[in-house]
Amino acid sequence: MQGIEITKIKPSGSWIHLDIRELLRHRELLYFLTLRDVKIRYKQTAIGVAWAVLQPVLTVAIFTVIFSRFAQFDTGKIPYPLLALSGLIIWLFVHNAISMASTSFVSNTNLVTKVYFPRIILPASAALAGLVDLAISLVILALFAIYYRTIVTWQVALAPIFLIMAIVLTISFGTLFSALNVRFRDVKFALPFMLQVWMIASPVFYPASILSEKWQLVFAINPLTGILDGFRSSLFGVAFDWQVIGISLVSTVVVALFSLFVFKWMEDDFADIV
Amino acid sequence: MKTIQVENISKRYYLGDRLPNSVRDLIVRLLHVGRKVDKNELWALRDVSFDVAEGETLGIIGRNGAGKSTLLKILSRITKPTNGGATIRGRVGSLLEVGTGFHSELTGRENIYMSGAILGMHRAEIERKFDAIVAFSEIEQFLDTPVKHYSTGMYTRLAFSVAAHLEPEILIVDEVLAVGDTGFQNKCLGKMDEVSRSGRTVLFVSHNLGSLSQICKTGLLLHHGEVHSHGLIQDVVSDYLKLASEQPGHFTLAASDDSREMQISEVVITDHKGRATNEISYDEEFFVSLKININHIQRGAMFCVALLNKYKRRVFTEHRAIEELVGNKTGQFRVKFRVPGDFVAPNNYSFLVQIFFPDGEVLQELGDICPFIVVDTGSNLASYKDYGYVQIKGEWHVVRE
Repeated sequence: MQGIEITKIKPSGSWIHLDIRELLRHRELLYFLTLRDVKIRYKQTAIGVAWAVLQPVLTVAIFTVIFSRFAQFDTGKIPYPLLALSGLIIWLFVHNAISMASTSFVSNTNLVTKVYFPRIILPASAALAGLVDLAISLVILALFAIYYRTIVTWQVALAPIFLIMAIVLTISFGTLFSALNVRFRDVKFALPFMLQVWMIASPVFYPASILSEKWQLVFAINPLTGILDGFRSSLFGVAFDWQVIGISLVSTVVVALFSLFVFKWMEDDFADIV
Repeated sequence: MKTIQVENISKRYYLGDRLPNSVRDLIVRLLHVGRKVDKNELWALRDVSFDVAEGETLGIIGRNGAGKSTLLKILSRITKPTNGGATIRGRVGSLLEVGTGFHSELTGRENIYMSGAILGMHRAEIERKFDAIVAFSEIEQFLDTPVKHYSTGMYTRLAFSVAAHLEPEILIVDEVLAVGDTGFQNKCLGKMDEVSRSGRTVLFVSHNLGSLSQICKTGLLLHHGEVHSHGLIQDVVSDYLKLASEQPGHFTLAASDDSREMQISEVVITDHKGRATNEISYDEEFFVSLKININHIQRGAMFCVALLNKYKRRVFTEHRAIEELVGNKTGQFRVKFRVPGDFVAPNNYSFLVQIFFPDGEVLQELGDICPFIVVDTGSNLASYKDYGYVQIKGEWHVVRE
């Protein structure tokens, strides 16, 4: 019997379990679906992948004009455009990837109803496809940093930690909303609004330091607060606020577990109701 | 060793609105807790049990809504059973649709990889079979063209080629052969035959009883979600024909695929009063009524209705451009074709309907459906056994010379 795959088909169980072996077996599918989403993202657009450059650069320009005229933030020694760009590239990744992932089942109905694969691959690949844009915007950030003669310290080595936190957070919310979207198309209307509120509540275009000392730890429950603050600290050689980062890390893990739980609980019905 | 053991599988669906589909709906529902909702349930499968031995080729047949597709979906793990279970030994590959995973913006080459990965092939495996897939599909020169520019035929050929090169231990196939031109269909049938000969276990759902009996050794007949019979394919097919004749003059497509651009989903023979029937009086007109779903009109597509005699040869063929009949509209239409009375001679017949293109490509073909009898209710030929197939109001003239 060696080497023969045995599949047991059973009604939906009452407990939730994640089959890691099954996921590993489908890792190539994750790769291909991500590749597909990357390839079709800018198909039939006139300027193609230039959008990945224009989106952050134009937004930073607008923010700079608005906030350097009307509201001066104390950004310490960091030039405002650089601060805004560092926040924006993470935000744009989070925003675009969650939006893309949330519709991944609804727009791939034919896959869900005609073939089996671990369902979580679909929102995960939609979210991961955003990494290409993120990589492009990191290059822009590097060019900005050179232009502003930013001094890079050893701390920059910690930056990937915060990027990974952002990716985990994004995949988690992406899977959560993709699952909810299968049953409740309300997600389509509610999500853009929620994302907008989330952006304003997160230190994207302002530094985390302007949040009052007393409320900073409450704001840190928002995982993006610690991610953005930690990412900036590592880039610009500012002291880390480990308390804020710690709280955000915990809430990232909580979001991830909660999303996974909801997803596993809902996924058995996808093919029947999507 | 049993490769597939299915034990008491049942599947319940809720028709309509048992589950809330929006938050508003959910709130409304919560305000009405306790209302019974069970009226809307439907058992697509009920206590289905059977075994499939290693290397067996099982044909699954049954009418529309008999539960065939649901069964395949459960065995492919796309959906879960409500009760019961199954044990499957070996890697399963399922083809429930032609072109699963194809994306119209990607090129043929990219889609081969994409579709292969979705059907469960590894990258190395796809690379190894790549040339064979391309050769089988006959689309070499369009390999780097996005498939949205392909004709339906090219698209189908490529899609089937990827699928045909899947080499799982167990293959589950649902009615994928109903498309493509005749030549390619034969090629596909040959491939299916090859697969079954290679010792793999195959589950095959099709309406084409001919190809089914050719490829499969055993059959399973589902009727209203239950196993009606299970045994040698010939016996199961004849059981099916017995069942089918209970609903006279009616044909419904088993796996109607709403994503198709154009599809005939139902064919009914009706008498002059509009009743479905399989007995027509020789002197009365009757109608062939087709239900067709059109999502997108393809230029030049034609309907064809042909009357087949008992030897399955055409008595007459009529065709008409689809655009001419329905205009530029999309949606569901009922197309009626009138056969005048006093024309078809008393005998046994069936129909063949097609959607085809003048270049010979056949989009859909339903052959030998709606068997019916034209009965003699008092013609002056009643005492003869064989009337031929048409009766004409010929005239006799005599002149003395």
